[in-house]
Amino acid sequence: MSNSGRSWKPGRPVLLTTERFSLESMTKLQAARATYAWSFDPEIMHPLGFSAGNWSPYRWFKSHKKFNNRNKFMLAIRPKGSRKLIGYERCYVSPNGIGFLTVAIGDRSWWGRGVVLETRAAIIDFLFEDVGCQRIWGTPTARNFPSIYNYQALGFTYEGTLRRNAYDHGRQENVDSLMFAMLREEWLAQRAKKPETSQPETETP
Amino acid sequence: MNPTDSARAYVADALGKPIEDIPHDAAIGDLDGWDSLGHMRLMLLLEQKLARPLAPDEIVHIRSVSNIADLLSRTS
Repeated sequence: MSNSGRSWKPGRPVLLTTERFSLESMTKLQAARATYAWSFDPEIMHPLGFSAGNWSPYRWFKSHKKFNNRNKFMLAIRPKGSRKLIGYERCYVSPNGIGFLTVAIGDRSWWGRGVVLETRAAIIDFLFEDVGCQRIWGTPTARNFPSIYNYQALGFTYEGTLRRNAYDHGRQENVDSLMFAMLREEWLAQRAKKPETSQPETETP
Repeated sequence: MNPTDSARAYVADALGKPIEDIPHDAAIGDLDGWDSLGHMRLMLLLEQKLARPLAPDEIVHIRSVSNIADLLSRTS
């Protein structure tokens, strides 16, 4: 993977800023601690493919991967000037430069306020320009309408349906997932038409 | 009401706006208030109107008033 030469180096914590938010690397322990309360909320957990309300703190911790800031990123979303966690953006990058995204906004007071559009644009910039990804994709379930909206509003291309691919704990059945993807050149062409919204920085561990 | 005006009425209802505020060419990303929660309300309203869950192909093609009008025309 290439590095655009900006300030982030593989393995170093990431700090991105947008107009309203900061996105900052979390460790596995920080992530598990900060998000445990969300594990009780079915409206947060079910769209992510998890059950709700039956996680012990230990199981919750074990369910998280270790984020190395090389190819596994877990970025806390906080309003600028606040330490309050309102959500996270997570990304796993394969050796051939394909980034897989997931996101959760755990603070309900921020739902419907464009958090994902703003923060995802920043992490996409980071993944294409700094990490060197060629493709970024995600697979929301077909019933996750807010997530589908976010992929479409950001210009992702619908590439197909994975039939009965994910278990929906709310419906207690397997449901379809939808594949949305963005290629590097597509994002850069889109960005060329819009003003820059993110400013990557590096934070000393 | 023609399909386009019906589509505008559904979008207006989902977004809590008067129908006059919904242009005929309104689409995801270019209409204030058509956000992730507004989109969810719109999809649920359409399912209520059609009395069935939307198929994945329908879900991904609902991106504008025009797409909704096409869907309503096909299913009426």
